[in-house]
Amino acid sequence: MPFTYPEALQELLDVFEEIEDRSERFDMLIYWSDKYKRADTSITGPKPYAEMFKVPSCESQAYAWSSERSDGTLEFHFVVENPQGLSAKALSAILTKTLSGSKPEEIKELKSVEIVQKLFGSKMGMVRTQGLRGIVKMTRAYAIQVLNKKTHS
Amino acid sequence: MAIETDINKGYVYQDKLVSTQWVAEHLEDPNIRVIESNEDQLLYPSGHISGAVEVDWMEDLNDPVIRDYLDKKSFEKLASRIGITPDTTVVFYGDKSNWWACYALWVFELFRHTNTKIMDGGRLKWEQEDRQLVRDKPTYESTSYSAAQDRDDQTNRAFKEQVLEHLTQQKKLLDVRSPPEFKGELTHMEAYPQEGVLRGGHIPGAVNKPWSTAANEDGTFKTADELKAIYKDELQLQAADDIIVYCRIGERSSHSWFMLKYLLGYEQVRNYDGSYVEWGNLVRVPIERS
Repeated sequence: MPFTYPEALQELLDVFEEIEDRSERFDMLIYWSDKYKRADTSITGPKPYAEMFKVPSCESQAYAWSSERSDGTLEFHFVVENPQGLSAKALSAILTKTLSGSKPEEIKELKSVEIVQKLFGSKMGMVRTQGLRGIVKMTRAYAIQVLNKKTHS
Repeated sequence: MAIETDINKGYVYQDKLVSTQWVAEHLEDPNIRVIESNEDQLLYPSGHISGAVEVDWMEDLNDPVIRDYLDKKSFEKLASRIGITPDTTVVFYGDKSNWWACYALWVFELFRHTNTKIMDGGRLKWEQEDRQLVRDKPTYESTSYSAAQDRDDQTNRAFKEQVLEHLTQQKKLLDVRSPPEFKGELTHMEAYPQEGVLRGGHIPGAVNKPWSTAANEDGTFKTADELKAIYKDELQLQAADDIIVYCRIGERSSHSWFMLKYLLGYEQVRNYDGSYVEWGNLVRVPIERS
């Protein structure tokens, strides 16, 4: 059975895929970056944040956390330290909104290349692409971690 | 037309840098065009200095097919679109301590548009000073820009043949990548082998100093004395030397090129934009690892 993204994420990816105009895409992403909210300290704890929460390859200094709800679905929380990291903020807001409440099985096979390209377009520098992919991969890694714990318990 | 500027950090070409205050005071000057160039393409549309236009390094400065920069005709079209003439003073700023702003300035100077400046501190400093950002995109009447000559690939630009000749003659090379890249510990980013290299390391004889060493935390350039201590005294790069700078694809090294050429006044500095992604994949050229 082919992998399908969580419904909310798939819907948003479908919307972005239809966008042909660059300005329109950027307006949508800025809209999402405006929705970014820094993760609460009840989740992150005090600074400095542990290295394990840092998104690798992300020059916007993004950090990601995950928490499990009582129904077994996951929630995601992000901090983007770079005030100019708008793309990282946009993606963090999107993933917070569209993945929180999803089961780890639905998240464990997210395709970072596809998600980043559908949202941001294909014309991006390598460094920026790597950072954004890193954010997606962190959410996937958390989902896999939860599933592995269940398998071994 | 010479325009007085206000930076006083001991640079040889003081007028190549302007302060945020200076830009704020000249927003209405019709002889000045402010250009924003960033890595994150969301920054400009999210808010920019009033009257600033965007020049995107990927969309506007690179040839769409060949790995090269735009040609004379395309540059004239770009310049006309943003409403400048060869006499317009162009002030660049952007994110990442003006890394991409310096890159855009370097490309403009390939076409002999040398009436250029960098806003010291870039976008970050402007924002930290709570200066206004607007979302309205300005429109300027198109001009008929005529570049002085075809693209000049000799003065500020180096190709692999010149780099090979350079190292054979044991001339100076400055590698501005991170130490792991310089040492060959990092060859490419995961899943992007097309932007990586088959052989990690550096060009033989190159000295290493990451590009960001030239910048302060707030994105401004260090003073001339601080820069001399690093580049002249520590790295032994002298003003009379023939220097080629490089990084991975020539983007970080344009920041260093600007600093050496204009802030320290070094006369012979060229940017090797093929940089290590080209060199590390070339057949029959030497590399070093350390």
